[in-house]
This record gives sequence, structure tokens and C-alpha cells, in this order.
Amino acid sequence: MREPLRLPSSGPPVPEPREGAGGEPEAFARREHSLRSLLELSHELTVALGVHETADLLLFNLMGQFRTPRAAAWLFPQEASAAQPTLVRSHGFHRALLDAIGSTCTSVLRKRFDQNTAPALSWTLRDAVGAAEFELIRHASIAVVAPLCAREELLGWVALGERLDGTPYEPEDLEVLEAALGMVAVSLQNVRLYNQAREMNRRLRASNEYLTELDRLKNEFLSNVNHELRTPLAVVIGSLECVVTSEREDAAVQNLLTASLDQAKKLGALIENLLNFADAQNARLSLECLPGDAAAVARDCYDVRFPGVAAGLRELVYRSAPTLPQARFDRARLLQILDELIDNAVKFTPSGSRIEIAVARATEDGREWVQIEVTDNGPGIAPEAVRSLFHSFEQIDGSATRRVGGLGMGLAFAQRLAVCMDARLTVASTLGKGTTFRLLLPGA
Amino acid sequence: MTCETRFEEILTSAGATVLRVNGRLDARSASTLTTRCAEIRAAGRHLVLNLAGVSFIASSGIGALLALVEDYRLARLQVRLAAISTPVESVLRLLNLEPFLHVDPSEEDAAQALKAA
Repeated sequence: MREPLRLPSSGPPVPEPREGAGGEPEAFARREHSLRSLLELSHELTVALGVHETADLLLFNLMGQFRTPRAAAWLFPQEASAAQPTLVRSHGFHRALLDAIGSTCTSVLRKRFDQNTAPALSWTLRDAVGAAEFELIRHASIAVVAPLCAREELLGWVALGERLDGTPYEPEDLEVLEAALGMVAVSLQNVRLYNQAREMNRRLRASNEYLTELDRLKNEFLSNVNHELRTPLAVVIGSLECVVTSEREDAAVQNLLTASLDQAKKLGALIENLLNFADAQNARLSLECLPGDAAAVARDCYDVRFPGVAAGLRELVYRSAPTLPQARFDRARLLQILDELIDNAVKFTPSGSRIEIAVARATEDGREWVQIEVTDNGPGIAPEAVRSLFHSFEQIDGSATRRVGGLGMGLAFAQRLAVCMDARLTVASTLGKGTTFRLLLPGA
Repeated sequence: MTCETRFEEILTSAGATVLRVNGRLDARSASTLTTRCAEIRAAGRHLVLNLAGVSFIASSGIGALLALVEDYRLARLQVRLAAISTPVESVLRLLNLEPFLHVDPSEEDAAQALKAA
């Protein structure tokens, strides 16, 4: 059980309201003093950044303005709005009394300030709080309690002691107090939001570092797994080749073995791609970039791919500008990129679509480039999907029932290869009209 | 514009410390003032605040003075203001605070008053 609180006599009890005194010139001078105090407060709030700094600023300002030697501020903790408020600063009050008031009067004050955000003279709380609690308020010499509210959020409250000269707080004083607290509450809320934003930023940075590490581990894993898969597969392919090329004439067995060999080779190619991808991600890919005729490579690609594309009833077209500068590229990797772009166009366009390979000269960022565009007139790609098109292992339709197969690494790999060659690969797409992949190869 | 407020601390023999304040007594310097005075109070010494060099006193400065006086009173110690400048005097008069603060013409007068108390 808590020990009964001894009530120190820190001043006379709170007086009942009475008429103010003073002549008109004095009243004007004091009004001017109030306005200057508000100005000072608003000015200082523009530079105050911390919660305690702001509370100090507020309390000293109010004490000077209202001529009271006592003031205190409570704030609700940010993480739990329903919790007890914390006494963040107090001047001139007995701390034990304030602690007792904080723990016994919270629910009453919260209810009062939820209904009415105007400052409350302490004697008006007599009926709302219990007799024992009101005695605490009287002995602490609290004259006014006022809420700190911003954008309909109750952040805490402030208590002011009675004035040194014993004069009561007039309605005009309470108006000024409400204005001052309104400014400070918005400032405090901004301080909280600022701190929240900084904390979120810190967490995001930590998450980003964690994800980068995971990405590195993923690449390492890919590289290791691929090596493990490739070795036994090489043995299988070699054995099948021996049997297929042998003199045996059992046609049925030959057919089965040929089919098995084809599938094993496809699997081998897939693993090779995975290996290349992992190497590219780890920047271990070996490239030999030499000056050359990019249009000739594009033409070769067209020639090789034409039959397969045409078999799917798609039209493959090649065109090139008459004269083109030399470009710098790795021939094998350029073919890989073009293969990937044509594969992609075939995968995502229906039969009857048109796919065009166009080679031209381009100038961008003050540099000379050779541009190879692969354009289709298919269904196009939604803008939100375009943004993740070059992300590894991501398919536009990632569902188990998707129409198009693949690991979702082709375009990411193509872009990585382009970067390794100091080239640029971009995409532009319009829903219902088609998609253009644009590869810029640096001039030689 | 930033005007730094300077504080100069002098120990006297009468169990009191004199703190001379020079510059503006506003929101920024008020916190420093209360911190310095809290250290002196914690050492159990009375305080003489020489405000002759205060060129401007804002509401926050007044608030800090009132808080000091009350905190010292609760600690059964005294605060006396000495040689207050004209700007401080006019604000104290406007707010009718002179009767509630112990104001002396000089540091010596303040020290005498502390001895007599």
C-alpha cells in the first residue's frame, strides 16, 4: 500500500476568482508585454528541436508572461497514447505533489480536455476530481491546467502556479495561454514527427544494408549450386552423346536417347546462364570489348532467329541505317542480349505480332552511340510492371498458372551485361500498343 | 543575429556566489542561467545575481528568474538581484515584480543583506 503523502505548504491556497486591478495605461503595457512574449515564443520555436528544450522554452516564457514562479509540463509518451503522461519539466513545484497529481488526475484531465480544449482554472475542477485530488492541487498551488493539443491530438498538459501578486488569471490571460500552447503543441508534434522520420530513415538504412547482404549471399549460393549441378550434368551429356553416336540401330532407343540428350543440353544451357548471371552480379564476368560493326551482329542474330520466330507465326523484321559508326562491344555478349530481347518479345506477344530489329546512329549525353531497338506491337506492359522489369527473378505474372515460363532473370542479366559493356539498356512500353527495348552501344 | 550571453562566477566569503550576467537574458540564455544556478544551489550557497550587464530581458528571462527564486526558497537558500540594468528594472516595474524579488543597488549591498539575514 502506498504511504500517505505529506502535504508541504508551498504557498497559500488557490484564490477564488476576483476582479482585476490596474489602470488603463498599465493594462495596455501588460497587453503589449503579452504580445511580445508570444512573439518571442513563436520566434524561438523556429529553432527549438528537442522536446525538453521546447518544454523549457514554453515554461519560462509562460512564467515570465503570467508572473508565476511555478510551472510544469506533462507529455504523453509517443509510443503509447493511452499511458500516463510523463512529467518532463517542472519549476517551483514540489515534485512529489506533481507526481501524485499526475497519477491520480490523469483520467479526469484527459476527459476534460477531450471535451474542451480551453485552459481550466483549477477551482473549476473541484467537482470533477475527487476531494483528495483537489486537495493535492490546492496544496501544489496550481492555478491553471491547460492542454497541449495539436491537430485533435492531446499531447499532454501544462500547470501554472498562482501569480506572485495574487491576481487571478483573467479570460484574456487564458486566451493568450491557449494561443501560446497551440503554437507549442504544433511545434512539439512536429518535433515528434521529425524524430519519427529520422528513426524510420535509420531503420530503412539498416534494412537496406541487410537486404544487400542477403543479395550477396543469394549470388554466392547461386554460384555454388550451379557448380554442383554442372559437373554431374556434364557426365550425363557426355555419356548420352557416346550412346547416340554409337553404331547401334535400335531406332526406338535412339529416339529416347536423342530426346534425353536434347533436354540435358537445355538444362546445361540454363545452368550456364545462371552461372553467367551470378558472375555478372559479382562483377566477375570476363568481357572482350572491341570495335566492330554492331549492325552485322544484329543481322546475324536476325538470320539465326528468323526461322524460329516465324514458326510461331510472328513477323521478324530487320532494318539498318545505311552508314553507321563502329561501336565497342563484346560480340558473344551482344548476341546474348539480342537473343534475350527477341526471346522476351516472342514470349510476351501473341501469334501474328510483329517484331522489328532496327539499328541506327544515336547521340545522347553528348556521346556518339549505335542504337539497336527491338520493338514489338504486342499488348505492352503496365507502367508499374515496367519499373520492375529489370529486377532479378521477377516475372510480370509470378503466379503458378502463368502462361510464360522462365526464371525471370533474362532481362536482369541482359541489363547487367549491357552495363558491363558500358552500354545502356532501357525500355519504353504503351499498353495496347507494344514495347521497345533500346540498347545503346558506345561508339568506338 | 546571435549575441552570446556571458556568465562570470565569483565566490565570496559569506557563503554566497556572485554570478555576473552580461548580454541578453532570453530563451536561449535562460536555460544556461538556470543550469549554472542549480550547480551553485546544489553546493548549498546563496546567490547574488549581478544583472548590470543585461541589455535585454525577455519573458523567458523573467520566468527563469522567478523559477530561480522559488527553487532557492524551497532549498532554504536566498537569491538577491544586484545592480539591475535599466532594461531589467523597467520590465520588473511593469510586471510589478519588484516587491517579490530582493533587489539591491550593488553586490556589496546584496552581500551585506545576506549577512544580516
